[in-house]
Amino acid sequence: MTHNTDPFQDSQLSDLFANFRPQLPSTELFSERLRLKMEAIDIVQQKQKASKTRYRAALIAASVSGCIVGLLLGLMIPNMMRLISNLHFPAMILFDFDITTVAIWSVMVSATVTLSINVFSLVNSRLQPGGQSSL
Amino acid sequence: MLPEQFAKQVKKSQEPLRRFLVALCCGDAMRADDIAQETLIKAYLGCERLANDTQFEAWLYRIAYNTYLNHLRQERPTFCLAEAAKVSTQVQADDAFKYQDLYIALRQLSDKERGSVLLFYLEGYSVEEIAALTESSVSAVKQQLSRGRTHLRAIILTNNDLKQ
Repeated sequence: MTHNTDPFQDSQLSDLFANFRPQLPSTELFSERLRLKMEAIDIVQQKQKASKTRYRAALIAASVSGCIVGLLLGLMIPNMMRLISNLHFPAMILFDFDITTVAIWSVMVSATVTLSINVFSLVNSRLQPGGQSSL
Repeated sequence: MLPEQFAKQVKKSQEPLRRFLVALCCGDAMRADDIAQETLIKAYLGCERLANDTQFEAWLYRIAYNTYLNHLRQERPTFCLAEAAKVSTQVQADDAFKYQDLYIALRQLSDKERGSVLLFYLEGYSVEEIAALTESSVSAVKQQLSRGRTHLRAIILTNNDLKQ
């Protein structure tokens, strides 16, 4: 803030505003209101921070478990292929393409996705303060 | 800026800011206080981004001015000037109406003129600082100040003549 000598300086107006001391509503009430709001903001910010950390942890757990299960199921593909091809379902004649591969991949993807989602919600609810498993 | 430093700065700047907003709201102290609260909350939320403490006041006034403009956009209250003038003459002895003439005069200025005039005459900011604060050009601020001063002087002179 600088008090300068601009051509806009006007003694009459400056005097008018220099004596401007309006009665303000209670400063204590104002400060108290502000303090309460600031405390509320702090609480919300802390909760947001905790929730972000929780989400990150749940996301990491879900990704890791998804990768492990996907990898394990992937290693089991040859065995599953052999098992299904030995079963000889009569309905399999209806399809022109290799239905076995499609079935195995569908099972693998749905198992991995379901597990990841469940791990995410489990970790997320466990990490909540006083949290219980949602499963 | 740390929250502790913020609290200290707020304690210092709170009253001048509230006075400025009372003038900007033409005497509506409750509305001014609501804007002041909103300003200080916005400042609190953004205080970590403010690197230079010496710019705190100018930064606070910029937030206050923008918050005031947002309030204006949200609600355009209808105000009968003739009725306000009547009230002021009836209860002139009351301390709360001490500045009623000034408020009525300020109300007749445009929002931008009022902001510039108050920042210049009440808060002592320079034209360049006001331009930075209100995000306007220096020439625009000079024009607002010139018009605002002319209007304000004319209104105050007319009011004084009417009283005599």
